[in-house]
Amino acid sequence: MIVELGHYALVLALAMAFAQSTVPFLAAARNDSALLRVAPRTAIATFVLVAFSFGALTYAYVTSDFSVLNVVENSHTAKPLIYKITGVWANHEGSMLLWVLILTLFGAAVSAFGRNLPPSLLARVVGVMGLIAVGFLLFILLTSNPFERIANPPLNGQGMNPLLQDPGIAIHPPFLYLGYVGFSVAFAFAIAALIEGRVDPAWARWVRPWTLAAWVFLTAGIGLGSWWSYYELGWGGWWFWDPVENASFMPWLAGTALLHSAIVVEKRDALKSWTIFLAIIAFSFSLLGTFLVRSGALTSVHAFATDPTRGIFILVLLALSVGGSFALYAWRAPTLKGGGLFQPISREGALIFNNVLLSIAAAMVFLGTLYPLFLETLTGEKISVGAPFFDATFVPIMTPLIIAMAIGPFLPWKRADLFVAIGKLKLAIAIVVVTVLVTYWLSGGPVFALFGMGLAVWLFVGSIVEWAGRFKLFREPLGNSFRRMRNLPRSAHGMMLAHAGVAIVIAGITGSQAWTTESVQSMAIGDSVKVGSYNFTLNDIKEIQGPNYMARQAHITVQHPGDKTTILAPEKRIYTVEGRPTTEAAIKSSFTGDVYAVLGDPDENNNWVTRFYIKPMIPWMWAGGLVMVFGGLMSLSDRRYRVGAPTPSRKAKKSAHAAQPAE
Amino acid sequence: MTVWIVFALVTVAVAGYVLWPVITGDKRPPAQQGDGDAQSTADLEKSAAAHNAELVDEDELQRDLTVYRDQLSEITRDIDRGILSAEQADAAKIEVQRRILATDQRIQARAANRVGKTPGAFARPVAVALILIGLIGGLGLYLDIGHPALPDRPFAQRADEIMAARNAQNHNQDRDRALRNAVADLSQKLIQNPGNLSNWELLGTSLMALNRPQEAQTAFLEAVKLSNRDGAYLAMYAEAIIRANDGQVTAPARGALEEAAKSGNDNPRIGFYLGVADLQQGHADAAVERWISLVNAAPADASWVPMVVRQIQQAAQAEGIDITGRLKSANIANRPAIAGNGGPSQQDMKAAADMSPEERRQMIEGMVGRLASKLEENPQDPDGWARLMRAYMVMGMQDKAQESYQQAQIALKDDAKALDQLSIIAAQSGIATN
Repeated sequence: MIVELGHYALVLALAMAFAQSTVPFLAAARNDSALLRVAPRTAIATFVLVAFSFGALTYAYVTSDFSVLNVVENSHTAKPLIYKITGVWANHEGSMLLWVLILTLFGAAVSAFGRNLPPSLLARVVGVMGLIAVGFLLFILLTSNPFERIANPPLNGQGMNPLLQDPGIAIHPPFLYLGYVGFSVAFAFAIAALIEGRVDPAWARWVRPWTLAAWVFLTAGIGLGSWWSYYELGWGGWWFWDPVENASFMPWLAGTALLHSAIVVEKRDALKSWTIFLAIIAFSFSLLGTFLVRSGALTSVHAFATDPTRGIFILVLLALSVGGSFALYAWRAPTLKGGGLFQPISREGALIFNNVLLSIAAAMVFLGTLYPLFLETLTGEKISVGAPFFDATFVPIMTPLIIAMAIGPFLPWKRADLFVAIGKLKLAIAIVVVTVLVTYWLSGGPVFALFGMGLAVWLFVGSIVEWAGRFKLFREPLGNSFRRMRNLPRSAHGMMLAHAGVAIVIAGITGSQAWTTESVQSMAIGDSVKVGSYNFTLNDIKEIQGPNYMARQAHITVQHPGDKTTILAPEKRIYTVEGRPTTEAAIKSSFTGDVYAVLGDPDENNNWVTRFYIKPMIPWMWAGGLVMVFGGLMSLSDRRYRVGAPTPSRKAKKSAHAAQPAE
Repeated sequence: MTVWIVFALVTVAVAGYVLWPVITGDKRPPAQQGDGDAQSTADLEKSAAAHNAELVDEDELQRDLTVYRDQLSEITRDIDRGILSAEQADAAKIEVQRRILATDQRIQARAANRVGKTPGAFARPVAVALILIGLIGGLGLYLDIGHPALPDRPFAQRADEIMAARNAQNHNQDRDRALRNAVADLSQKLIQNPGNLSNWELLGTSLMALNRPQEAQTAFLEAVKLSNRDGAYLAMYAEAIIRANDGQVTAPARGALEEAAKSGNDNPRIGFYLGVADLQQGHADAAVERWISLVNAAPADASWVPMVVRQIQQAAQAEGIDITGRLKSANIANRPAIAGNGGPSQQDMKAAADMSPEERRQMIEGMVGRLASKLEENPQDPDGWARLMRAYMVMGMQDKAQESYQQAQIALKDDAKALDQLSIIAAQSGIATN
């Protein structure tokens, strides 16, 4: 009965979501105090019901209840418990349920924490989230119901894609969805503000933490996803400009822009309309991503749904929500009053520059992802837009962005002097020159590597210098500086960490792209091969038996002058139920880089095909991502009201000076 | 029933939770208060609503002011921390003060705008109605897509069923193994003596039982040649082709069937598959006509009649063909009830429905028992033995089937051809043939 109760709870959740999408608007329009208190309750009820439903499905998976079609199609009794649980969302229906679970979780969280929001604003925010929930619950119940039952259950299930039976990918979707769906909160606030016709700093103060939380999750999710493809797919690649990856990257770019423009609204009461626009864009990209992945419009590893009715359903949802919100924006945005004024060269100006570049970048990804789709729909011609396009468009967009990233934080609000700011970066400029020269001397490396390392160092040193400058490091006694540092708001640390994290990521990308050495060969047992300065010896190959797979495991000794000898054990697995092979690369990570070994199939002479990669600096990429996430969390923990102090204009300064002739 | 009680409890709990603020009522208006004539009630309502709006305005103003106050104290704290200079702090304070002024103006403007407008008191009933509509709609949806009667079936509780299924699987494997042995055996014999017609036929039927119609096709073709294009073999040959083509009656199959029909052979496959061919070419009328004459001409106990009757009814229903009275009732009486035109009469259906499973089992056992005693008297009846073996297997009495197979082997020990045939049948129906 638990399964059917879960099914009923899901239907009931739809009923509550319907209430959530109607009653709060009524309450806000009528300003009825009792109904205004009903509004958050509908959101909490929807969440509790969806959570119960999700729990029931998980129960069906854990107990291997094959009277549930979804369990039959995606599970098997021999699967380890952890993958029975993660199997819940490693398929179309279950992942949509997870999507809605997270959506309603955010709705309930806003309701629970939003007691000090103006009740009508809270009601409208909850109402907008209810509308989204209705759309997706209908989608689930009508086209992708995970509670489809079978009267005569089969003896066992069909198992789960072995590529997905991995701890990294198991926690990747929840993070990614927490990010995607997290932008729905900012979206709901934006729509609510459009309906109310006002955006004030309190509004931005609410939007910022939700956006930041979503951004943190999305960053972690994307990082996990690329890490997974790096170690699991066995190519040593970590980003393929695959449409599904792009689908998560677009909301990230828009979300990053939103995060920065929300700061301007909060601190300076400016850029309101633009911030609302970005909030709509960020969530629209999330919906678009969901559409791309779920409709099967683009076929890739991730797209497990290929049912056109589903695609059309999501397309209609997408058109309604995106079209509706932009129409509302066009109608209501002009009523939003602009706040603080500022000059082009100022902190605000720098943040707009950031926003514009990030938006262009998102537009480029959008174009590169969807252009092939449009072309195929219109002319039937199949083209693929891959890395060359994105490399060619991304580098020119990102370079000025990263240069500006180091300068921006030095600029005061309202009006600034660019040369004063650059003057503070003398140290960074010097270190960049030294780094480029040292890199050239060490590697003679390609131009792009010198360029990339230069950019990374510029941003890293720039971020540190700005941070250190705030507590006057080396300009005051260390004790004083330390006290000042402890007094800094946490968001200051957060910004430094996030920016420095980007720098570390850039260094990792540059290093691994420029200096990877790889070698593919066929080896007999006992053979050795030299790759770079590393020596690989194939010791032996053993058959091993896992819980639901059989594997061949190689033992490979890796020697490197001045390093301890290590043994790598790459595997080639066959998952017995699914009858599909997977490659388990063996990776030894260190500060300087990764040693990556893959075992292939035996060739006709009974030699073994092996692939070895030396990938310098690649772990920096994920380390940098972690630093960014940590910076985001740091900033998230900063609950202050934030006010950006403007720089008084020169005229005002002059008059102040006039009063003090001594200066 | 428990399911519905639980569902009802959950529904009531959820609705109660959500509507709690409405149920307990709100201390603040705009609900009606007190009696009085219509005029004064409206007045009261109006003033109550206005009062409510004022409270909301006041509330909003206070909330916004709290934010700005917090911002101001944040600036003071930043000065203490040494993050802001006094000059910057002053500028920031001035900006915040401007915002406070703007907020105050906005709220006053709104209050002015509101004069002369009255809010209605319909909001709460409408909200309750919306929630009820949602719940009723949800219940309707669940009735459509849910399976309230299906219990959970966790794997751990299905041990018996899974054991039985495994046994059945092993059993099938045994049957397949026996059939494969028979195929190997027959192939060996046919290499030595390719002129043996009945061995070609047995090879063909065994391959069909193993679901290898492509190979069966070759065997039946040999049989067709050896038998001088006998209609029955042509029909089997056609059937193999059709099975190999996933049920499509291809041109070669149709050719073979038409040739068989011309030869005047009465193998029911001929009429049946020609009907299928008609249907596939869109001549449903012709197909139904053909099948009806096939059924009407069939012996009363022919095992394939119900299958054909079902086909007739399906085709008739799909194409809207009236078949009332066209089927001879003798052939469809006492058949399992099938819905549709021309099915068994109400009485037949009632009789069949009235029979308990126990009675039905007894009836079948009686029939099998009569057959067994008949064979005891006259054991020289290969067809009878085959029927008996199949009947026992269908009833799930494997031991009995095994036993009767051994008896038949003894009784028919001089008839090599009959023994071969029986061993195939035994293999086909899953009796161990060691």
